[in-house]
Amino acid sequence: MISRRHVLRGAGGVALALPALEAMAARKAQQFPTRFIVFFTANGTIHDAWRPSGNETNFQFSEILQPLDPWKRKLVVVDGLAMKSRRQGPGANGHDKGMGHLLTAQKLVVGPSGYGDFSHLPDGTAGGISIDQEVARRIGKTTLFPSLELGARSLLDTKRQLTSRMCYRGPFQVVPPENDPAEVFRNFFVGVGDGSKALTRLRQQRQSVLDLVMDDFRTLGRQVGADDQRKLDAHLTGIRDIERTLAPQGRKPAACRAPAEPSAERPLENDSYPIVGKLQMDLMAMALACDLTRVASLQWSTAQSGIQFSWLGHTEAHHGLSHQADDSDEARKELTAINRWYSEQFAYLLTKLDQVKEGDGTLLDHTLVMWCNEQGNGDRHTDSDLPFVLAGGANGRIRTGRYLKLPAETAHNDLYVSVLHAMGFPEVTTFGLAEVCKGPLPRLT
Amino acid sequence: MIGKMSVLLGSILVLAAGAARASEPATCTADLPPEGSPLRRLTPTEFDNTIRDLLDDDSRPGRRFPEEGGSGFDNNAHLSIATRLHAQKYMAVAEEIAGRATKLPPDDAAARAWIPEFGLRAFRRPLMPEEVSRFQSLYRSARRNTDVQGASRMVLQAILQSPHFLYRVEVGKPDAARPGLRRLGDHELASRLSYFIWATMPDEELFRAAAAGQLHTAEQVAAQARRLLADDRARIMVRRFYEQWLELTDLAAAGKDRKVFPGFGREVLSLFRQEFDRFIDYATWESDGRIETLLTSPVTFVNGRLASHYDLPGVDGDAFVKVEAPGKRAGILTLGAFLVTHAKTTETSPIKRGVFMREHLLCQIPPPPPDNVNVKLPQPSKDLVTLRDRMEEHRQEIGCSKCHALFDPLGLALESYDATGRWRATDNGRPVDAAGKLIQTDVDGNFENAIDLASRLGRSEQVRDCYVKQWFRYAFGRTEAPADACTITTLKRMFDARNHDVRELLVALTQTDAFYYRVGDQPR
Repeated sequence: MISRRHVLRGAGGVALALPALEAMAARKAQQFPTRFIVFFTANGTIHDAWRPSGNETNFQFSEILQPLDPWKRKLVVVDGLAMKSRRQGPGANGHDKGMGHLLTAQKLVVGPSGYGDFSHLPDGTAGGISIDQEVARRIGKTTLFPSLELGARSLLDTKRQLTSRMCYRGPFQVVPPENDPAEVFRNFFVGVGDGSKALTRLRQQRQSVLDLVMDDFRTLGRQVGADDQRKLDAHLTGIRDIERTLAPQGRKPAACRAPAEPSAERPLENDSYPIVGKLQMDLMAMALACDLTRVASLQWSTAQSGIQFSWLGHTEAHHGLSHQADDSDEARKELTAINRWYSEQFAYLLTKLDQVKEGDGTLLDHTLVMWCNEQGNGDRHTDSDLPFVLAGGANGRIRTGRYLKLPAETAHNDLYVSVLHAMGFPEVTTFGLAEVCKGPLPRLT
Repeated sequence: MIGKMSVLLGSILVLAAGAARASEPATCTADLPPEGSPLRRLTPTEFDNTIRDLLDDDSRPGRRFPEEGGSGFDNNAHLSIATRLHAQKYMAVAEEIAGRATKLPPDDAAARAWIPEFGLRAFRRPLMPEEVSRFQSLYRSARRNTDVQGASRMVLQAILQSPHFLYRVEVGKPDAARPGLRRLGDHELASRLSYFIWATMPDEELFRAAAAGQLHTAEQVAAQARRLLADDRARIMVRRFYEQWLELTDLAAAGKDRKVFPGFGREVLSLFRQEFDRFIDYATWESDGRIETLLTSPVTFVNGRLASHYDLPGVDGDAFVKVEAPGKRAGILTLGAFLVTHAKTTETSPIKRGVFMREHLLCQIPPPPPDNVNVKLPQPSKDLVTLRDRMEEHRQEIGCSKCHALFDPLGLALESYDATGRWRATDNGRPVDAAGKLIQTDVDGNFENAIDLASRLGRSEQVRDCYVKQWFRYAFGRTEAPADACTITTLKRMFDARNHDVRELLVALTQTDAFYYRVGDQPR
């Protein structure tokens, strides 16, 4: 299948067939691909402190989003989304459901052990592909890496995989994030796309080793039953993905600068959270600038986040605080501070992306950044009024500078249909649980 | 995939779905097949241990791999799906390991012999002729550009990334006596034994027995299992089982509020770890090994610093010594490691501790709290002095007492221990009331305190059944399914027959059909 992006890139004649405005935007941005970023923070928000005041184009930020004020013209606050899919299918725990539905918008699947551990589904799984992996499936073949999954402290709870993970290629096919910036550097930047002789030799060696390994996987795959074969296939797909990085690379984009090797002591500890998050955002921005990948996610924490924001002076962890939001002014104040801190981090990411010049615009202008959360109200585990913010223009496909109040109970599936449209797939009509889809979000583009 | 919120058993308690479905069948005949066994990939720990034993390389790169697991144990095969991140890391780690490997063949002739020799240990079975020839041809083509060592290192990289190394591939052979099942071969059983009991590859003796065709009968397997259990590596495996079952994997990070617990930190947490290891070793290997001892023993192990934390008199110095604290300590539930991880940063958490006992010790799943539950307890006041007072007030307020009656009393029994595991007689100046009532078990009744509760749990058949299931999950890397009912029943009977000796249960796990046969994944 030829994606629209290829068409735009390849032939001006086809571009003329598009509506005039879109064609102008496309021409302006034609040599820069559209990227997609997911930015996840947990445990819901404090709506009074999150919601802007004013109307669609003339609005003021409240306390939580205030740090984004410099970026007002490059973002859309999306208010009124609901996880309608979450009201169907199995699952009893709000964080299981929130996280499993967040990017898949599809009913969960129960694992062999059923329920357990405070009504989590200990070995349950999301029921479909997540939006980031769907975008990667469609556009990931053109870059060295189809996608890049990062975490700041998204450590797996061995009894709560659903609450710990958000990216899936499909049921039982979780895509884990890398929490250690040094490992990201090692696996994504060292020796990748470098044309030196030593590395050419290394690539040839890797190719001959992997040829044999892949042959082993294929042979074995033919000898086992269907379930085991699926496992071996998933592994083989992973090897094929790294095999692609062995091919000699063309010229790197002008804005690409090899990052310095990051160093964070004790990367997995609570108090390293701010520094690890920053390092991951730096690496993510550079991976996109170098066009190593066009799809990336940063999962700050697991759902039901137990991060203790000690650097904000908090003594209680985030999840515990979130369940006092409706009853305690003090907890609301601390939760507002947590979400405002995340706003500052989001602003940092936007700054990093905007610092990368691409033609007349910036990397941010050519990216769709989506800040999402697995809950609306974290105290009551609500699945409506999800606090989403979109940023970047997606190559002119998203109209920014707006506070978009959606009709109440708009399914978040429809946002993902819009995401796929913005990423160059206007033919898409549904994502996830089809029966709740009504088509792309109105007034977004 | 099956599994649904299951039977209510005339109460609001729900048994874990697998557990309910695996209830004892009316007739457990010998030819009921076990459930299919999914393909297992080496866990990060197994990978590290295998590299250590295969190449004398103790660099333990597995900590860089993505964390895995589900249903409480890190070896759950259903959730073990490799991704690009895994493949990347396997490649990077294979290159690093191959790069520093010693004992490589000195010349081409030696390399030819080395491939099948090394391959046997790496794949844990003899290589097939076509496998040998493929590695030989990789070696030959590599030799065109590099020396003997360089070419051998490339073969090593290919072996370490092969599915036959990274996965525990089991093919088995048809068994005329058991249609529909495939019986595992001797080498496959050697791996089952070594990965279960040692979390690593087979040792020389297992390879020898497998090659000699002496690892086939239940007697031969039991004899080898006993040999493996006598080794220190079995001690480490047993500690890891308890660490996961008791949810202690985050022990090192279980920090407390400095204002409430000044001076408590990494040092004591690391002593808790040592105490825990010592106690598990003692209860399993040095005492009578009975599950009751594990749950009720007044014995523990402390050094001077830990004794002063616990306020136990008469122990000085850095060395750990065995002490008895009758009336204050009773088995795993009163160990600092358990108490500190099942508590909040500022105070205890009777709810967490109580739900843990219902779910992990009794295999019962309390219903979920409503989504809008207010978890904030009232502040201490003149009328609400202790945590128990505040919880009772809160429970009445929000009308959740029906469910909380299941687990609150169990957790409140541990109120004699604060959030850092210290024994205490008072809470906020008032005497601790640790008494309560145990309901919906086979050992129902009133108890005075944690010691009393532990002794009830220690003689509960329900606790023993749950314990057997936990070991089944760990040993087979999956949650029990309906078809496993016979296996579980057989294990329970063997456990009963051996006076509930945990060590005998470990041997029994190698004696059921599920250990010798596989179903479901037939070769096509």
